[in-house]
Amino acid sequence: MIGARSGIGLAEFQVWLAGTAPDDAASIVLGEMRLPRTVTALLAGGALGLGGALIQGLSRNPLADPGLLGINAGAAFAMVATVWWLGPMAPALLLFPALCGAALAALTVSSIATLSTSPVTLILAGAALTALLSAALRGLILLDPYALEVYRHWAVGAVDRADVATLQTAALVALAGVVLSLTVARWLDVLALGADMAQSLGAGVGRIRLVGLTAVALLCTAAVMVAGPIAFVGLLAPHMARLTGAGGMLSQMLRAALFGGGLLLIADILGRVIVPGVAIEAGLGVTVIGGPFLIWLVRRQAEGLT
Amino acid sequence: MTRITVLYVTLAGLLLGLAFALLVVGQGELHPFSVPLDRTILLHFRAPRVALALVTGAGLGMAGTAVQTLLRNPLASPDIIGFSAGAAAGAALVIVVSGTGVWAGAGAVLGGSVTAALVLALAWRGGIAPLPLVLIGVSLSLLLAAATDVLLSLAPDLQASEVTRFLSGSFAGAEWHRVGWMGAITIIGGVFLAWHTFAVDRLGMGDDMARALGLGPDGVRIRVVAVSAVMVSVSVAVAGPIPFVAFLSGPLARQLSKQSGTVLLLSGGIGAALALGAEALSGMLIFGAHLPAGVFTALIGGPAMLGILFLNTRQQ
Amino acid sequence: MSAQLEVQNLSITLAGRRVLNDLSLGFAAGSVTAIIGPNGCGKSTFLRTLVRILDPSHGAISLDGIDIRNLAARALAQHIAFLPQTPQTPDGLRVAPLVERGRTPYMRPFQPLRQTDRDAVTAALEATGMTDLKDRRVDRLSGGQRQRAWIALTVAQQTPILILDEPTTYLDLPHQIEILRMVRKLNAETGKTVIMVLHDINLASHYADRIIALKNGTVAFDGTPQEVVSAANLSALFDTDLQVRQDAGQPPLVLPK
Repeated sequence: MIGARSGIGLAEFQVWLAGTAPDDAASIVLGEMRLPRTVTALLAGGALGLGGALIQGLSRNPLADPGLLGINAGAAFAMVATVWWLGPMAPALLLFPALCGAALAALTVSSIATLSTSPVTLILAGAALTALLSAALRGLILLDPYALEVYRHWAVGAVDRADVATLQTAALVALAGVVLSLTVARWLDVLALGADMAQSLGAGVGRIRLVGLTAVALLCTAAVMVAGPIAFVGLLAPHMARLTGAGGMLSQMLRAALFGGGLLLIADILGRVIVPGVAIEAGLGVTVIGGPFLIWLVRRQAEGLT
Repeated sequence: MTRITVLYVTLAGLLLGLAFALLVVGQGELHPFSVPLDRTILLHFRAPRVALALVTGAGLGMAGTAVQTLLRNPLASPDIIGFSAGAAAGAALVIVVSGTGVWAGAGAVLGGSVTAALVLALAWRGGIAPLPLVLIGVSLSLLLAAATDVLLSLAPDLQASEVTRFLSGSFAGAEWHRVGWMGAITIIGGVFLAWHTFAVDRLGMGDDMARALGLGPDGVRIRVVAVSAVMVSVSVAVAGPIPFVAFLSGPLARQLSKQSGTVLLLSGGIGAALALGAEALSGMLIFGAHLPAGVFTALIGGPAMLGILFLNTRQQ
Repeated sequence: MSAQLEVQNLSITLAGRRVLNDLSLGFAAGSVTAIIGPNGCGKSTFLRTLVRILDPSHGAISLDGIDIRNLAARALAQHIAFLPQTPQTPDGLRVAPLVERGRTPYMRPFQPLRQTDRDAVTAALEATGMTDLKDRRVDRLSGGQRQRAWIALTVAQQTPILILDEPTTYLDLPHQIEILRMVRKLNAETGKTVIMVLHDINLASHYADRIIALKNGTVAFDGTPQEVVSAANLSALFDTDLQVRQDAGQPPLVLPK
């Protein structure tokens, strides 16, 4: 309801809901711009929050975040590479390369992470993967000015560019991810006791990880498709969930999804109203909050490492 | 001949061969002694590029191996723990604010140095332990990379392409005065680091052991990190970020020489060879375009880094 | 080689907790002292303070009457060698270069090893039985061999005082005995003063001239094994019922009750 254009109030919203005046300017703004935007923020934020809780549970590492581990970068690189290879195409079609990219990145990082429980190894592996993918991306951008145009407006992560078709596809992908996450939630509680303990309690650690990572890849792909590579939501949301007292994995995941969606929505709204006339993209807002939070978290973690 | 001698001779041969190929054969053979125009091309276009690749690569290789050994982690090189990202963000900021690329170099040096100071300050807890320093550096690096992307998206088209060009990391457009700057920093920084390898190598036994032998770990860490940060920042200023050279040189040098510790000189040589090799590749046409050297070092270095990570964790 | 180490009214506070409280101890030149006590009693803190890794909050430590705070780090390292509980083994480092690092307090950067340094290294390898293993990688040695290599480093340091923090942790019994015999031999041959933290009271009684027990940052008891290793002392120290068998002419033996 809050946006660059004032004069849209509850009355206009009711008109739009009733569908009585489909050509009214306010209805168009609501139906074709603001509503998709809100849905995008909730969908991407929720998916990232849930994905973050999942990957933190899977890696038993409070610093894990799909954005920091290179999973978003994998999806982004695959999409830009496809555009570069095949030329401009409908965003909904980019689903498949994005999914492959995210899955491959998740697999690479997690295969390293499963070998070592050290948070440093995981975060360095993510940094390495991100560095590699972003350098490759940079090469592609230099080869193709069109790809630069696509990338630089999309790299920050924003919630105002998805069309309805993309949103629908992404929602389906996210739904698949949610279903898979719910099936492993219970087992992640067991995994939290350590891999050996989980195995002796009858949990197939390999299978949990496989299902969990697939879910993470699906969720991240959905988020990247609609909003670009947004970092830090997946890091912040699970911590907010735990701070508000979520204990079990299931409640952690649900709360993280809610917090993630809310976070991105608030970042978007604040970005639109904070400087009049200039829309600051949601990804930037989240980075401004999330970056310092990460540093704070690391400093707290580091006390245990010295 | 010992393994080390063989290595140095091979490396010297490789560097000379590459340099010669790039200088004289390159894109079209030159006859500098008979054709005046060819002499101009050699002196003003090809030679500075080769020289810049050499000094930048050597500087990055030495700074990288020093920081890796210091922090007892082969992954903790200056380009991973935020110094390159800080220099890049500084340069991008200056380009976007000033509207031209003239002051980008100064922005890079400032950005890299401020980042290094910030990493040290945030990691300080009555002393500097290696692991927190690495974690804080990586986090800051991610944050700065995100900030650079934001700058890129906010910038007008002209400056955006200037930033992209700068961030791609390349020795094209090298001039002798840049070679002079980088060469001076590489030599001064190299001597400084060589002096400190004595302490750096001994810090590998743990802080308590080093202190018991009469060394001061915190002072060594601050000085070596600061000097390495300056070396890396200046390299970004003269050539843009050339990823993974700092990261890859040290582990390669240790692997090839079967030695432990800093192996500073060999790492510098390998860094120079990597940079020169990437420069040679960037001279080739790929998909109808010349890609900058930085793209090639990333494509070689990225997978190598993941491989090292994989082997490292498997050993544990 | 003799050096008199004195600790006067030493207190140390770490992270708001008083870890050592008003300790006053002297260490006679040429003696072997074992420090025992329950976990967290401040044993390691005490050793680390002796080599100035930690600074005391109150009190002072003096070496031959000179406050160690007034000594340069190098000078201190030429008088006291210290082996931490878990030193880190650099990847790929071999035994001889490791032992050469014991010469650090006598060297400067860019300066090659001198003849005295090489002699010290050879002697240290010999004294610890590591001569045959000097070209092996330290990270591939067995636990006992690795510990001997680290002790060789401290021997090459050629100091009158040697401080060891739990030199026998992670070792099986034969290797524990081997290490302690070696320490005893070093003490007998060179007159080194040895101060070490040990967990096993029976081994401590066997190999040390003097036992100092720490509890809650203060000295619980201090004396020769025959004097102080008693059921009453130990039961109070560890808050556990223990009995001590004392055979004539033999070190005391501690058993659970």
